[in-house]
Amino acid sequence: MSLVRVALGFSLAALIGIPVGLLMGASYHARKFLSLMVEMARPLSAIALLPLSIIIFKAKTFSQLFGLEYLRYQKNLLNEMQLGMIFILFWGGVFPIILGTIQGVRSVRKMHLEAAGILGANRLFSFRHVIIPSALPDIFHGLKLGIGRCWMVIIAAEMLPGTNSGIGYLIRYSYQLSRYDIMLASIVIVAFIGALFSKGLESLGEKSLVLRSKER
Amino acid sequence: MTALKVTNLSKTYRESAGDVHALGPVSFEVEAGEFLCFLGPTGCGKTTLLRTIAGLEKPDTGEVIVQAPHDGGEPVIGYVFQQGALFPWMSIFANLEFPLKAKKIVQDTRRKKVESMLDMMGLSSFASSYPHQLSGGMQQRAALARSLVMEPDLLLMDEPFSSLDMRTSQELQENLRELLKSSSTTVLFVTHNIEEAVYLAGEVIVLGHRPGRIVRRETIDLPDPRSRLSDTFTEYLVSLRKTFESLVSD
Repeated sequence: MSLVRVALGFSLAALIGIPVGLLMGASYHARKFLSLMVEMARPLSAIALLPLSIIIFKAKTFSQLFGLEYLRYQKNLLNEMQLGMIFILFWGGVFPIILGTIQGVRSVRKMHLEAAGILGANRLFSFRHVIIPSALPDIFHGLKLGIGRCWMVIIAAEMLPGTNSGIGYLIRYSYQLSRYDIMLASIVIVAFIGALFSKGLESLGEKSLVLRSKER
Repeated sequence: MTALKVTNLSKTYRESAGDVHALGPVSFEVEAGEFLCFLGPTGCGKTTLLRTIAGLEKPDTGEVIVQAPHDGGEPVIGYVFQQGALFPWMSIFANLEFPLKAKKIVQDTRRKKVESMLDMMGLSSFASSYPHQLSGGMQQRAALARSLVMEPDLLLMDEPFSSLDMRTSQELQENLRELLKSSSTTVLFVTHNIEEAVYLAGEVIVLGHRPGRIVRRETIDLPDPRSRLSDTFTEYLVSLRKTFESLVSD
């Protein structure tokens, strides 16, 4: 259950974070305009926003969002996808992704852009074939940090009242039942999955990183 | 026909430590198909001159006019950097394909052009390699190929062989002469290596120290193929070295 939540929240963060980061990295005006907002929003802990997001989204779930309320009393995955929780996952994950992407776009070598220009590439072509590929290692780094943050946030969020599924819930519940064996096992699983996420993204990003660092 | 006309070009870099008057004013003209070498000590504004002609820098004064080709289109300008301008995330083939793709040339034509260029440059076996897998000499060869595949009217080369060892550098100089024999491309080649200039150039312009100014213009009248060991070659070498030394000692 936690995995599905993270997958949703993280995908949303990546889907929005990468384009925003690209825009902020490439355009001076977008950076000026958005950076204040990002810098104000970024230090706000996602957990701090959980109560607020529950108020805003009223514990609505995805099944309600898609008008599938008749599924409400059945065991259904969408029933457990509280919008508020997805929102704070998004919040936790999106900032490292934005910052990583900006960093990537900004670190494109000037010579490569000049070469592209002389070779007849217009702005869009350069963006697609020069800026994005050379930003890729940093984007992956941002994604890696982002998924780590999502994973931390989900565990904490699931421990709060009002949840009855997920590994965070399991940790709290087993604590209440004094089943410390289950609690410890869950913690180990959390650590293991966290590492798996991070390694997975790392190996995905590896190829682009190898190509860039070799050249320097 | 004049391929390039540069008038009163000058450039000053404004930096926090103070203004650096890097170049000029310089004026000169180049005939179409000419191979012109700019020879000058480090910091004489050679690179600035080339970058300004390429449109990478804006001059403070003066203008650059690149003659349009016969078909009346925009002149195509090629530029070979000192090193490291290949895109490291693309194979050699993809690197060469880049300018053709940017010009929206159809895939079949693109493929043919790249393949024949790779063949001509002796790079066919490296088509699917990445730049970092190639030696420095091969990388510069590929960078040159990437510029030539656009069939430029004007080719600007900024010390393209200076980072290579002598043997490799000479080999590439020979290749370059061979390649240009059959083309009408006008070349501006910047170097601080006198021998390289005498070997390659039809004409040499010596640039003086900061701010870069034209000190001497000399036609290199040597038969083809050029021999580095011939007496006339050495005479040019010595004569240019004298000019060069007097500049450095100033």
